Amino acid sequence: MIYEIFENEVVMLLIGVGVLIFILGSRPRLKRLPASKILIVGFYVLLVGWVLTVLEGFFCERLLDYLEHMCYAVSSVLVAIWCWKVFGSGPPSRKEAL
Amino acid sequence: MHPVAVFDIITFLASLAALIVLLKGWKRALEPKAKLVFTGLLVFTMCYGFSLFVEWTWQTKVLDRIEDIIGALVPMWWAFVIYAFLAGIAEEELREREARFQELFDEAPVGYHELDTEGRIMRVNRTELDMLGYTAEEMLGKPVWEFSVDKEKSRDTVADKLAGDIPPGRVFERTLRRKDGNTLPVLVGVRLLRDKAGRISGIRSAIQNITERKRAEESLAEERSLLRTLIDNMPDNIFVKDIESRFVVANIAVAHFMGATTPDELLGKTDFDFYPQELAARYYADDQKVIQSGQPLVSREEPAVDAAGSRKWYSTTKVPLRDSRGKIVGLVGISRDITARKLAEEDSERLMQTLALKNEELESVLYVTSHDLRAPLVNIQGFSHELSRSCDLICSALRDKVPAADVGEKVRTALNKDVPEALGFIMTSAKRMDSLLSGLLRLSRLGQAAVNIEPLDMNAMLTDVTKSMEYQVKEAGATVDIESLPPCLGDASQINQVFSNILDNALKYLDESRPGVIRIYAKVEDGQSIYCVEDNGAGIAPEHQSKIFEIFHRLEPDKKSGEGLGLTIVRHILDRHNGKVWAESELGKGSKFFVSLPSV
Amino acid sequence: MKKEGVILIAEDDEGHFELIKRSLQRAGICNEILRLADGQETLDFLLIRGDGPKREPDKQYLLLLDIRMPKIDGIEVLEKVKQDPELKKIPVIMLTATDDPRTIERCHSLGCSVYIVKPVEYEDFADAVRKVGLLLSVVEVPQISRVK
Repeated sequence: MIYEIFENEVVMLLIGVGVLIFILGSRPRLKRLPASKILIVGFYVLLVGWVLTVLEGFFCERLLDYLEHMCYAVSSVLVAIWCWKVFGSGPPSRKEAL
Repeated sequence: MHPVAVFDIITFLASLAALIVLLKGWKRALEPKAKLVFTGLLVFTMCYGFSLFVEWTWQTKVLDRIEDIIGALVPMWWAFVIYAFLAGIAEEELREREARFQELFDEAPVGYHELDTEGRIMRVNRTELDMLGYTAEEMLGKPVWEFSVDKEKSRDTVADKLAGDIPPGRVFERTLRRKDGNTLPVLVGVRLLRDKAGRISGIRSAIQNITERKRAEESLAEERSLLRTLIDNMPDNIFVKDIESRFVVANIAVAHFMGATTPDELLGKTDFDFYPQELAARYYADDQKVIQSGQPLVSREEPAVDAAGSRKWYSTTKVPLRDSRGKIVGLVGISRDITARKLAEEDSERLMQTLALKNEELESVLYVTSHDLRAPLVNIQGFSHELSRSCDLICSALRDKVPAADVGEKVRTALNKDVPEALGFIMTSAKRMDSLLSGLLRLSRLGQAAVNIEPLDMNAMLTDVTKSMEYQVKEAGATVDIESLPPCLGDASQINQVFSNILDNALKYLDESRPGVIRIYAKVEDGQSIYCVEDNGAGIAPEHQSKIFEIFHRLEPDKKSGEGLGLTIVRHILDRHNGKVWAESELGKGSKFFVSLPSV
Repeated sequence: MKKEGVILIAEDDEGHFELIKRSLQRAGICNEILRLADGQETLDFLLIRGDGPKREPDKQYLLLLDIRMPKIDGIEVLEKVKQDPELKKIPVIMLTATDDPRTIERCHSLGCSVYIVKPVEYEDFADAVRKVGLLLSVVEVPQISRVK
């Protein structure tokens, strides 16, 4: 096997794309979520990571691997920021709450 | 450390931090279900980051299996998270919609309640609660007729409705009982509720408070009744006509006048249905003039014929009637029976004419009196003198030519005594008659003389009057005192005559046994200047007092000169001045003559 | 007034005429005196018409005029006389029983020369007429129609 393709990674990507379609389809609704952009961007970055995982099997293995892990990290940070925005500050109010 | 491991530890730590923040602020936001799912995602991400860190730090494949499983779970879990979020959002939206609906329901301007198939109240809005003064707990679950004044009827209606016997969309009135015991008139609109199978599952009623409307209707009815009573009981004819001169409103007086038993019989009809063509055409022309010009016709006096056919006179006022936008839609008329007044006017006119005629007649009688009655007097006087002259002639002729003895004693007596004496009586009587006639004439002329009213200085006038009578005053040995007198309104020469006559009278009837004192004084009372001429003369006996102002009345015809006209003239003059004259007197003590004239 | 002047007395009451005539004569007036019994006769005489006596154009006349007379009254006679261009030269003395100021006013405005009220008192009456006589003795009366 020349290319190191793990079916595991392809499955991740496929599920991720499915989720992407799902998100795009229900974007108007998701906008009602507080700070929804941060969360969605976090997902997009994660998705990029998954794409890179598949791509690193074909070329530039090391660089793409770096980028892949960086994407995971950025995504996590974004999710953490989102959490901080939603749960971290201010008293609970009807307007901010879902 | 391997650079990739740095990213992985960041992933791990960020996820951990997010997890801590989430758990700490758990209650702050989001649905519990969504949060639970999201927590799972964070745990997986954390584990994933940790396993990658371990793998890259120590280059070991120990956690490879776990890493693979979790790596596959993460995107899947994202799908769950998004789904859970969306579900939460949908639920929130639903709640918002419901809250909005509840708000609409509660804050509707009408009361709402929903009944189940037993007629029990299942839902009731705030408006209705406020309307009836109950709390929701007090109403919910109770049969709706408990709140109605007529419970039987209400229960039957509910039963009928639930049985589908009453067509939908019907609105009816009900009287409800408030918690404080007052009644509340309402308008009820009903809608049947059906389940999915189409069976009747209840009733929703909309309830409108119509107290205000009822009150307005009642006060309108009261006002109408008040107006109707007023209009009907007015003795005048009152009517309203439309632009085609048809009666819209008419009162009882109009109905009776036109020969109808009730005013309703007139409605929609016109004057042409009741009056002769000519009269009706005239009224119609008047109506149309008022309607077209917009100018009212005020107090027009016109003839009319009532139902019995008798001729009447009416004073009619017609005013244009306008609608709320100012457009003329008809006229209002008020018509008053002035027949009696008209007849009286005609009578008085006839009377005035007769009076004028009589006056003319009287004048000519007086003229004839003054001239034609005097003409024979001239002859009586003149020829008496001629006779007396002839008598003298005969006497002197006899004296000269015939000896006294030849003429009989009787003839001489006749010529010397009897004839002159007879002639003397004739001449005196003629003279007296002449003076009476000229007196009469003076009186009649007084009635024709113009009265020139002006303010009069009475002090100056009475000084003048006294001065002109100075001789008589001296003759009578009297004194005249004039106090300060207020002015009055009158004709100078006529008022002068009044006081001359009264003063002349006073001087004429002084008591010879004591020196005469005449006092003239005055006061002002109720806009009248009242002058008094007081003397200490002979006075007038009570039985004569009422006659002193009569024409030609004289108290002592033989002793005193005069025609007996002085006081008559005084009274005539004062009548024409709207003044008055009266006397107070005591026999033997003196008299007071009062004259009242309008003061300045 | 010259002797040939004629005094016309328009007077319906014969007694009055007699009294006036006597008084005038006693006052020394010896002119011809002619009685005209009413207004009609007076106008007929002056206007030269009818059956009775007529005015002669060359003579001078003076008119004593009573007011209340049958047929035509004195005021009307006065009016007619004063309207006529020739007759208006005749002096007219109103001698009447009425002393109504309006009548006096009217006669003067119509152009009478003198207005005298007949007094009932004989002495006064005679006196009044005597004064007229005196007046007549000094006035000159114009000729009505001049010789052309």
